[in-house]
Amino acid sequence: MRWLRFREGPAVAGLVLLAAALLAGCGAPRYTYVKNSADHMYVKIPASWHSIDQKDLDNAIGLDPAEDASSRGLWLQGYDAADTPSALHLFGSSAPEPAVLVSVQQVPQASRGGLSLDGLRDFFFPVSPTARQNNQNPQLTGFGLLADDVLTPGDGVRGVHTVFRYRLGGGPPQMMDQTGYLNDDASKVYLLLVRCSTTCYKDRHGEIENVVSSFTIREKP
Amino acid sequence: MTAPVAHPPEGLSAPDEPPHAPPPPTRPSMPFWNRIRLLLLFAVAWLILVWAAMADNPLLPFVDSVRIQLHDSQWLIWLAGLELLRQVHYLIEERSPRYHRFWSQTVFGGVDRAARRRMSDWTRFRLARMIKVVLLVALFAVVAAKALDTSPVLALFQAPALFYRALPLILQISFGFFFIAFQFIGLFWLLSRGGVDTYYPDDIKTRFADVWGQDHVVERIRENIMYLEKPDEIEAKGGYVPGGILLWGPPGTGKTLMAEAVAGETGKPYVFVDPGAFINMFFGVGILKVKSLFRKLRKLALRYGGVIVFFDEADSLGNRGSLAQVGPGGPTGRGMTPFNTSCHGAAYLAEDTRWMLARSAMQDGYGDAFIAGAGMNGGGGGGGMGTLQALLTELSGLKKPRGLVNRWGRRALGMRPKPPPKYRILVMMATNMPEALDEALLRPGRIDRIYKVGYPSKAGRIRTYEGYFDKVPHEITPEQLDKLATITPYATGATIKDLVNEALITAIRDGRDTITWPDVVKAKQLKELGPPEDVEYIERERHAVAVHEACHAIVAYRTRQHMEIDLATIEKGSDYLGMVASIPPEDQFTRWRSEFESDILVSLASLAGERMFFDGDSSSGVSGDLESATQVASFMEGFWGMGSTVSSYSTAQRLQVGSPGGAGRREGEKPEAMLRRALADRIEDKLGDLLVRAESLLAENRAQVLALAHALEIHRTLTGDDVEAVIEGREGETVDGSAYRDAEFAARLEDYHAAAVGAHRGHSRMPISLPPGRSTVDGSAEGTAAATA
Repeated sequence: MRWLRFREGPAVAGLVLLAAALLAGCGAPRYTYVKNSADHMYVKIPASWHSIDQKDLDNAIGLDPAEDASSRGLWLQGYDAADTPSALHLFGSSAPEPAVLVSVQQVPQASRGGLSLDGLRDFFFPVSPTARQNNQNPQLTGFGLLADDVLTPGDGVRGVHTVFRYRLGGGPPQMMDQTGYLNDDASKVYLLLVRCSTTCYKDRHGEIENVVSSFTIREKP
Repeated sequence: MTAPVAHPPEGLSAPDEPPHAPPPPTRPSMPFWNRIRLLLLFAVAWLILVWAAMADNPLLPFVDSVRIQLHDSQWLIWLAGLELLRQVHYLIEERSPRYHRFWSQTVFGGVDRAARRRMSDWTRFRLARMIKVVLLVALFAVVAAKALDTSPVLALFQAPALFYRALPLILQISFGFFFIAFQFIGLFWLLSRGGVDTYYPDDIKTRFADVWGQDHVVERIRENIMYLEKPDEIEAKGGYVPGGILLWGPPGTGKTLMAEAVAGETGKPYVFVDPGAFINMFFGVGILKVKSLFRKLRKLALRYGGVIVFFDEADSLGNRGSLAQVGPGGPTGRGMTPFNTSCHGAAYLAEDTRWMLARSAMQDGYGDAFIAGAGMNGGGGGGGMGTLQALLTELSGLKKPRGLVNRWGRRALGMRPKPPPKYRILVMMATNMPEALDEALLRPGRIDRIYKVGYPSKAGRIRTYEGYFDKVPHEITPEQLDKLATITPYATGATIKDLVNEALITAIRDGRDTITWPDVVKAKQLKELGPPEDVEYIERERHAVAVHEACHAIVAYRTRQHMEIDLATIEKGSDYLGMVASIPPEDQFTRWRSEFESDILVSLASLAGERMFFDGDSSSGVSGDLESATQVASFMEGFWGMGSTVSSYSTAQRLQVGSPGGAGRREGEKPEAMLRRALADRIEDKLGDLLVRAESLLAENRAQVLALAHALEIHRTLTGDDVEAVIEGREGETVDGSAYRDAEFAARLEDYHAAAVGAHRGHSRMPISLPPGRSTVDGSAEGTAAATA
C-alpha cells in the first residue's frame, strides 16, 4: 500500500491502540470517584448510588445557605443507594439502603488542641464510654459496638474506624460505619459515615466495605 | 511507458510573484503525517487529560478514567471527529476531480479569490501560521486548565509557575552537560580575546604629511577615507563606499606607516588587527575571533558611522591553495603582476585572458623566493582552519537583520524584518606577498581597491631624504641630495632612514657633528657592499681581478646607455671578489631589447676579457656573470619575443604545446643548423654571438681596460665619475685620468700586464712592480699602492 509506509507504522499502531482504548471505555464507569482535590481526600462509591442534593443536605444539617463550603469551612457530600436519594436517609430514623456522608471540616485554631480520637469517635453519635455516659439524648438507644480500630496511614495522619449500632427515635436498629481522620497539625477532620439498617448492612456488606476501604487521605500530594 | 509528468513544485511562490502553474484537477496528495497530525494532537491532548485525572485521584484506574474523560472531555472527541471528517473530505478531493472542483471553486472559490486579492501568498501564510499558533496555545490552555482544575486563562499563567517548579530538576539534568560545556565556552572566550586594538581619533599623531614619496597612493587612500567620512556623497548617487583596500609592495615602502596615517587622519575608530591574531591553538578559536572582531566592527560602525580595520601582514591569513595548475614555466617577466605598469597594461586583452595572465603572474610573478614557500602556505597555513573562510563570509556574506524584536517579534506578527543597517567598514590590508592572499579575498566587494606601494619615485626619494636629513645636522646641498636620490634607485623609506643614520654614525665616528657628502657615500657603500673584508690579494691575482672588473666597466661604459656606473671596486667582500655596480640615472619603467643585449654584453665582458688578456685562460669568477647573462638571454629568447621566435615559452610549457623552433627552413640551410633550433641552442647561439661582440669591443678598448685596471689596483674603489674620468682620460673627482692618455705610460701598463700574465702562468712572483699613478686628491693612494707593490 502506497500510503502506508514502514516508518508510519508506529503512528498507525498508536492510533489503533487509542481506538482500542476508546472501545474499552465504552460503557459507564463502575464507580463515582468522589474527591476533594484541595484537601486530598478521595473515596469511590458505586456508580449506582446517587448523589444527594447539596441543598437538601445543607438544610438537613441546618447550614446557612448564604455561605459556601469554603467560607463555612465545611465540605460535605452525600450519596444514597436508594432510588430517590434523600438527606433523610442519612439523618432520619431509618435507612433501608446504604447512605453515605463524606465531609472535610476545617478546625479552628483554638480548638485544635482538644481534638482526640474520642472526639473523632463521637463526631456524630456518642460512641466512647464517656460520651455515652454523658448522653442526654433519649432518641438514641440500643448502642452496640461492633468494631473499633485505630488507623495510622502515615504522614502524621491518624484516625479511627468504628462500627456501631443505634436505634434512632425508636426506629429499626441502624448500623453506622464511621471512619474519621485527623491530619498532622489537627487542622482538618475527614469523616466518612455509611449507614443503613442492620439487615441491609448484612446484605450489602461487600459494597459498604468497598466504599469504606477506598476512603483515602493524602497528607502530601 | 509514458514520460513522467513534471509536477509543479509545491509550496509557496517567491514573494511578489504570480502563482506559477494552473491549479491541478484534484487536491494534491497529502503526506501521511499531515493527515494524522491533528488527530494525533487531539488524541495526545485527551490522553493528557486522562492522565491528569488519574494523577489527581489515586483511586482512579485507567479504564474508569478513560470512561469518565470520554464523557467529561467529549469536546475533544468531537473535534477529533470533525478533523476525521475533514480528512475524509480531503481524501475524496484527492480522488475525485468533480468533488474537488465543487468544493474548491463553487463553495470556497469566492473566499479564496477574495483572500488572494487582499493578501499576498506570504501574508496569508504568515496569517495562517499565526492562527495555528494561537489555536495551539488555546488548546494547551484548555487542556492545562482541565488538568490543573482552573480556568484556561489562569492555566496559561500557571504554566510558567509549573515550569519554575520543575526548574531545579531541569537544571540538575542539564548541569552535567553545561558543566563540561561551560569550561570550553569559557576557555574559548578567553582565547578569542586579544590581537585586536582599537584606536579612537587623535590617539595617533601620524598624518598623511608624514608619508613621503607615495603621493599617488596617499591620494587614493585619502579619497577612500573621504567617502567613509562623507558616505552621502557617493551613496546619494547610487554608489557605495568602497569597502576594502589592499596595500602591497616591497618591505619598507611605508604600508604600515600609511595605515598609521589613516588612523591619525580619520575621524572614525581605527581597529588594528595583529598579524598573529588568527593563529589559533584550538580548532575554531580563529573563527570565533573573526566573528567577535566583526561583531565589534559592526557595533563601532553603527555607533560612529563607520570604522576602519587594518590587517597588517595580511598574508598571515593564508590562502586555500590555488585553483588553476601553474606549469613549471618560469616567471613571465619579473614583477609583471597584474597591478604593475610593466608593459602597457593588459587593457587590450580580453577579460578572460587578463584573468589568466593575472593568475599566473600572481603565482609566479613576484619572485622565486616566494614560490618555494608557496606550497606550505597553500592549503591553509597561516590562519587556517576555517579562519579565512570565516573572514570571507564576514567581509561579504549574508547580513542578518538585527535585534531580537526585529528578528522574532516582527516575524511573529507577520511582518518582514527590517533590513540590516549599512555597516560602513573600511578594510585595509597590507602585505608584501600579495600572491599569498586568497583569490576570493581580493575580489571586488571584499577588497575593492588594490594599490601597489612601490619603491618611491625619485621625487619621493628626494622628499624622503630631505625629511630624514632635516632631522639631523648635515651639510648636504640640494644637488648632492638629488644625486643621492639618483644613485639609490631602490631606496625605500626604511633604507633611507637607515642610510641617513649610518652616515650620522660615520660622522660621529670621525669625531664630527655634521654629516658631509663623503659620510653619505661611505654609508651607502657600507650598506650596499657590506664591510670590506680587508683581504690583500697577491699581485697577479689583484691584477686579474682588476682586469676582470675593468672589462665589465669598459663594456658597460661603451654599450650601456640606460645605466650609469655607480662604483667599481676590487675590494673583496663577503661574497664577491670585486664588482662594478650600475644604477639607472632616471626612473624608467620599460626595458628594451637593446638594453638587455648590452646587459648581456656587460656580463660576458669578463669572460671575453679574461680569455683575451690571459691568452685564452679564464677563471671561475665569471660564474655569476654567465648566470645572469644566460638568464637574461633565456628570457629574451623564450619570454619577451626578443629572439628569433615570438611565442612565450612559459605559456607553451604550461599548455604543453612545445616550443617553436625558429623560422622555417631557409634556402640552402644545412640540417645541422636546423637542428640547432631548440630553445637552449638558440640561447647558446645568442650568447655566443654576443661574446664575440664583447671580445671585439674589448680589443678596441684594450688600452682603456689596462688603464682602468691600473686605477683600480691603485685606488681599489672608484666612483662612477672616476671610472669615466679614467676612460675618457680627464680629471675626475679623486682620480686624474689624463695620465692614461700618455702613450709611454700605456706602454708601461702593457709591460706590467705582460709580466702579470707571465707570473700567472708560472704561479711566480711579479718581476716588476705596479707603475705609480696620479691622484687629484693626494699621493697617499700611490704611496700605499707602491708600498704593497
